[in-house]
Amino acid sequence: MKIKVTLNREIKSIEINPDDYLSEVLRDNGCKSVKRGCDKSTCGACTVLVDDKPVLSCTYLAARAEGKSITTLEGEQEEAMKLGQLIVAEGGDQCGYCTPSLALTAIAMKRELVNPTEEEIIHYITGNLCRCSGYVAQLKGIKKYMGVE
Amino acid sequence: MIKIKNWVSPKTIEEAYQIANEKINNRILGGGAFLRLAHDLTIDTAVDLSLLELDEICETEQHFEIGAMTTLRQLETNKSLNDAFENIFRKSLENIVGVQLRNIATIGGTVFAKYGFSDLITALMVLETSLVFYKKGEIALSEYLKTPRAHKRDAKDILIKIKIMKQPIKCSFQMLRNSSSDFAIINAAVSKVDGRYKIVVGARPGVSNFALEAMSIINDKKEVNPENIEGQELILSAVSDNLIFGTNRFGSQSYRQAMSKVLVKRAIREVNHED
Amino acid sequence: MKIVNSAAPKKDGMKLATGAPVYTNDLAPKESLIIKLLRSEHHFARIKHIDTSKAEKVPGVACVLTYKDVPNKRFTRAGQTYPEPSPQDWKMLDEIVRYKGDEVAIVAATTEAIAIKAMKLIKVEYEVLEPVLDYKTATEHVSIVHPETDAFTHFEFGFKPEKNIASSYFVEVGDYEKGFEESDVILTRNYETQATHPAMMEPVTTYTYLDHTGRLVVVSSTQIPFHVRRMIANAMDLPMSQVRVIKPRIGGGFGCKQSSASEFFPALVTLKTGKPAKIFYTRKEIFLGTTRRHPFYFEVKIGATKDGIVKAFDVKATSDTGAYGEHAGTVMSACAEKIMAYYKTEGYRFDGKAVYTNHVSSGAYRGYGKTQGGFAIESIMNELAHELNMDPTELREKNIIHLGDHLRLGTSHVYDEDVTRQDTCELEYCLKRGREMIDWYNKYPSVKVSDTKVRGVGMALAIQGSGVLNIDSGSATIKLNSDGFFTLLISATDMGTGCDTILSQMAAESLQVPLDRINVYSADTDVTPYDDGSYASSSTYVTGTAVRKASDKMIETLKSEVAAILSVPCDQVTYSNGVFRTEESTLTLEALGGKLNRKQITVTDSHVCDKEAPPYKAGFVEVEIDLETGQIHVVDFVGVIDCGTPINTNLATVQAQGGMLQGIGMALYEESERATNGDEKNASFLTYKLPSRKDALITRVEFAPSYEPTGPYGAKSIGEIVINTASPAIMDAIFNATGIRVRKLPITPSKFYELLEQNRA
Repeated sequence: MKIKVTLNREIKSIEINPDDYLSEVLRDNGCKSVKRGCDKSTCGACTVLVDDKPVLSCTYLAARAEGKSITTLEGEQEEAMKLGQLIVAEGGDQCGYCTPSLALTAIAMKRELVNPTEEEIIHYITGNLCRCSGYVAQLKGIKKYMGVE
Repeated sequence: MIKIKNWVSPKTIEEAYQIANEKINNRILGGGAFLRLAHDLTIDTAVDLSLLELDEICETEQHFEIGAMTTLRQLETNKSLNDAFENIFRKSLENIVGVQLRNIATIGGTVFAKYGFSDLITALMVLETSLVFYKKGEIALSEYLKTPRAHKRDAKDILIKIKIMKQPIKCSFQMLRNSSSDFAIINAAVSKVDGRYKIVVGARPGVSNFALEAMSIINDKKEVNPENIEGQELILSAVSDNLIFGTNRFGSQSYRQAMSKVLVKRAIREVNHED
Repeated sequence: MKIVNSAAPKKDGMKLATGAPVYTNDLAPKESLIIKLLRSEHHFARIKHIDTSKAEKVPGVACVLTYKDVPNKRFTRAGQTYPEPSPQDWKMLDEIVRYKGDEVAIVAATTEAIAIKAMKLIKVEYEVLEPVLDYKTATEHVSIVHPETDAFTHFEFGFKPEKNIASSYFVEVGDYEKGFEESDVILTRNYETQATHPAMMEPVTTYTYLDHTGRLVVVSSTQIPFHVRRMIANAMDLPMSQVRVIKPRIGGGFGCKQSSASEFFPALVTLKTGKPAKIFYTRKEIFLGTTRRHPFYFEVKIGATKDGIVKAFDVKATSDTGAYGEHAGTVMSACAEKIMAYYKTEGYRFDGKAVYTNHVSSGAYRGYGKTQGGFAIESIMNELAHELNMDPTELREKNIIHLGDHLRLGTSHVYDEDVTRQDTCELEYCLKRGREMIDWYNKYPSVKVSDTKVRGVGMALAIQGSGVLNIDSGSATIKLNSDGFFTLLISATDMGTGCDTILSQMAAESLQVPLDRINVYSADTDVTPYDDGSYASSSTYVTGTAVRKASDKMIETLKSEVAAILSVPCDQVTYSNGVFRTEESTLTLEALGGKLNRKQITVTDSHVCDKEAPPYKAGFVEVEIDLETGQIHVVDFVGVIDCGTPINTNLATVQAQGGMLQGIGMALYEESERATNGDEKNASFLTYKLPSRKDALITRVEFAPSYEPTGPYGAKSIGEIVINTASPAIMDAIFNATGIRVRKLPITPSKFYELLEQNRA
C-alpha cells in the first residue's frame, strides 16, 4: 500500500506494507537519526514527531501515518545544532546512540511546554533512556536550551 | 512477529464494524501499542479507527465523554478532566514508560484489553465510568471487566467512548514500582462521593477490582470512622478479602497482599485530607 | 598550554547529537543480505537431525548454514590478547546446543522478513539432555556441558570440563594463617551477586563484504578490532592479511562488545556467497545471544584485632560462566588480584572457580569481577565495623594503603617493587572528602524521617585497574600533514567514553597545537596501529602513554627535519607552541608542513602496561527507606575518585555519573532472572529495567587532587571503577537504617519487605 505523508516538510508518497513500523520505513527513506534500540516500546531511541508530537516510531505503524506530518531530526537540523552544542558542552552526548531521539523530544517539549520546571522537563524526557551518561549532563544542556536555570 | 495482510481506515463506524466482522482474523486497532507486546499474531485486515474522530474529550453537563482513540497523553494533560477528578488521570498515567508511548496508546485500547497491569483502569474504576459500545451500547466499566474474554468467533464490537460521570469527588491513586518507568507491582485507588467510598486494587497482577468487603465496612458500618486509625484498621483488614493476588517477577503474592493495605490506607488518608 | 585537564567537547559530539549516520547499521550497504540466527529452544540438547530444505527454497534466501557447513574449529569469542586465557570451547555452530538461545542455524536472505520466514521452516530434531541449571552444584552434576574432546586451553587456567569447571584461580598472599591466629574477631559471611546486563543502547551489529581485491572486510560495532581480525582469520582459515576490520562509531559497549558475538556469522555468509551481509541483533538476541556479568557466590572470612586492624581474608568464590567460558578465568583472577590488595593485612587466600551451566554465557561487563568481589569484601568490612562497634569509615582509615605503599596483588607472579609501589593513592583523601560531603557524622547511622520513613548512610571503597599489567598494549601513529596539522591514528575504540577526544587532547598538549589541529581516526586494521582495544580501563592510561611517546617522538623527528633544512645541528633547534626556533630563524609548523610536503613524516610508538596504577574511589550513599512498602530510594550518592589527573574533566565526570547510576540499577533491581525451569524471564527492556531519569540523578562527583607520574599527564583510569561502590554502600546504608543486612543482590521492594517482616517477627 502507499501512504502520503509530509516528511520533514516534503510531501512524499511511500510504498509500505501494512505491518511496517514507521521506524524502518523512515530509515529506509534516509532518516538514519531514527534508531532501533529495544523493539519493545521502551527505550525512546526511535522517537519521531507525528503532527509535532513525539511518538515511538518502533510502535507506530506506518499505515497510521497517512496524511500526517512526520519530523525526524534530519528535518530539525537548526534546532539540533543549538541543542547539540549545549549537550556536547556538558559531555552529555557520550555514545550518542540515544542523543538524536532525546534532542527531538526536547525540541518538541520546547514547543509544547511553557516555562517548565526542572521536574516537568525530567518528566517529559523520561522516555528517552541512556545507559552511558547518568542523565545529569544531558539535563544541564536541555535546561539551558529550554531557558530554565 | 506481527503480520498484517490488509489495512483499512473506514470512514464510518458501521463500515468498521462490517469489515471487522467479515473474517475471524480481522482485527480492530486502537492505538496499536499492544502489537509490540504480542509475540506472534497474524491479522487479515487491520481496521484502523483513526479517521472516526474518536479522539476527543467532550464535557457535557453530566459527563466527560472520552473518545476511545483518545491517547493517554491527552488524558494526562487535559486540564478540565484533571481538575474535575483531582488529577487522577495525570497521577495514574505519568509513569507509563514515556511521553512517546503515551502519545500512541489509547484509553480505548487499554480498557478494551482489560490489561492487568493497567494503572488507568484502576483510576477509572473509582470514578463512575461506563463504556459505550457500538452494538452492545452502554455498560459499566466494572461490569465489562467481569465479562469473560471474548471468543475469537464472537462478533467484534467497537468501543466508541468512555463516559465518566461528573460529581463532587475526592480521589487518590497510589502505586508501587521497582523503578520509575517499570510496570506497577501493584496499584490502588480510592474515591469518595457524598461520604461513600470506592476502593479498587489493580496489578495484583490481575485486572483492577473493587475491594468489596472493605467497601461494605467503610460504607455500611456506621460505627466505623475511616478518619481514625481504628476505623482504618478495620477497613484495611478486609481489603484483600475478596481479591486474588498472585506472584510474578515484579512482586510476590504476599507482598502484593500486604501492599494492597498500605496503598489503600494512603489513598483513604489522602481523600480525607482537607487542604 | 592547557588542553589536557579541561572540558573539551567531544570531537564527534555534534555529529552524534544531530543524528548523523555514523553507526554500523547506518552505514551497511542497502543490498546486504540480512542474517537471522535460528536459536536453540532447549537448554541442552544434541541436534539429531536438521532439515533446511524448505527454508532454502524460499525465494530470496541466499543460504542456510548449519553445524555441517561451518569450520570444524573451537575457539573463544572473548576478545583478549593472544594467547587468550579463555577456554577454546565455542564453535560457530555446534551439534550440541548448550543454552536456550545458542545458535543452531544461519539464514541469509534479501530481506529480514524473508530470513525470518525461512528460519521458521527449518526443522530440527533434538535429543534433549539434562541441563545444568544451578551453578552452585554444577561441579557435581551428572551432565557435562562440554563433553567434546576438542575443547582446549592455550595454557593452564584450571580448565576441567569433566567437572564443569571452565577456569579456576587459587592464590595465597602473605601469611593469612598467622593473620587469623592473631585475630580477636573472625567473621564468616556469604554474598551473592546476580547476572546484570551491559545493556548498551546500540545493538550488536556487523556487516561484511569483499573488497576490490577480494579481501574480507568486517565492519562492526566492536571494542576489539584487532582481536576480531585474528579471530575471524583463525575461524575462517584465512591468512590474517585477507581480513580487514573497521570500527565505526560505537553506541556503547561496557564489555558486551569485548566478545565477538556477531562477527563470525556475516563473515561466513559473505565468504560463502560473495555478497555483503549484515546482522543486527534484536534486543532479545542481545539478552540471549551475547554476554552478561558473571553471577558470583562468595564465602568470605575476615579476621581482625579488636582495635580494628584487619589481619586476614579468606575468600572462596564460585561464578556462573554459563554455556561458554568467555572471560571466565580472567574475571575470576581480576577479582582475586585486586579486591583485597588495598588493605594492609598479614595475608589472604582466594580460591575461585568459574563453572559451566546451561545458561546464557557470561562475559565482560564494566568492573570485570571487581564489582562482584568488591561487593563481598566491602560488605564484610562494613559487617566487621558493626561487629567491632566501630565507624566503618574509621575502620577503613586504620587499614588502607597510602602513597608509597605497595599493592598486595593476589597473584603468584613476583613483580618488581617499582611495579607495585603506589605513586598515587588518595584513598584516604577520597574517604575523608566523601565523608564530609555526605555529612557522615550528622547522619550516621540513620535519621528518622517519619513513623514510616527512615534514612541511612553507607559507604564503600573501590579499586580497579588501569589496563592489565604486562598484557594490555596500545599504539599511536601520528602524521604531519602539509598544512602543519596532525593526524592521530589509534585503535583504541571510543564507545562513547570519548577516548578519541581524550587521546587527541594529549596529542595536542604534547605537540603544543590547538585541539582542532589534531584529526583523529580509529579504527581500521588496515590503517591504524595495533591496539588490544578499549577494555580493562586501558585507553587513557595505556594508549594515552603511547600517544605521549609518539608525540614526543614526532617533535624530535621534526626538530631533525628543521635542522636539516636550516643546516644547523639538531640540538640547536627548539620547539614551542607550533614554532621551531634556532638562534637565527624561526619556522612554524605550517611552514614546515609546506616544506615537507613531498615527504611524509609519520611516527608510531607503542606502550605495554608496565605499572600497577589503579584508580581508587570512595562511595557514600544516603537512602530513604519506606518501612511500610520496603521501597528503597537513593537520595544522595557521592563519589570521590582518585583517577589521577582527569584529562577531560567533563567526560570523567559523566563516566562517573553514568557508572554510578548503573551501580544503583545493579543494587536495586537489575537482574536477568530465570524461571525455575531455567528460562530467561526478562530478555527485553520492557522487563529488564534500566534506571531512568526519574530514578536517581548523581550530581556529586569529585576528583581527588592526584597526579600519576607513570600516566600520561598524570592520568589513571576511570571507566570501570565508577560502578563498584554502589552495591556495598547501598546495602550498608540499608543496614544502618534498618538493622537488616542484605547479602544477595538486587534488593527489590518485594524482597526487602520480606526481610523487614522477618525482622519485625
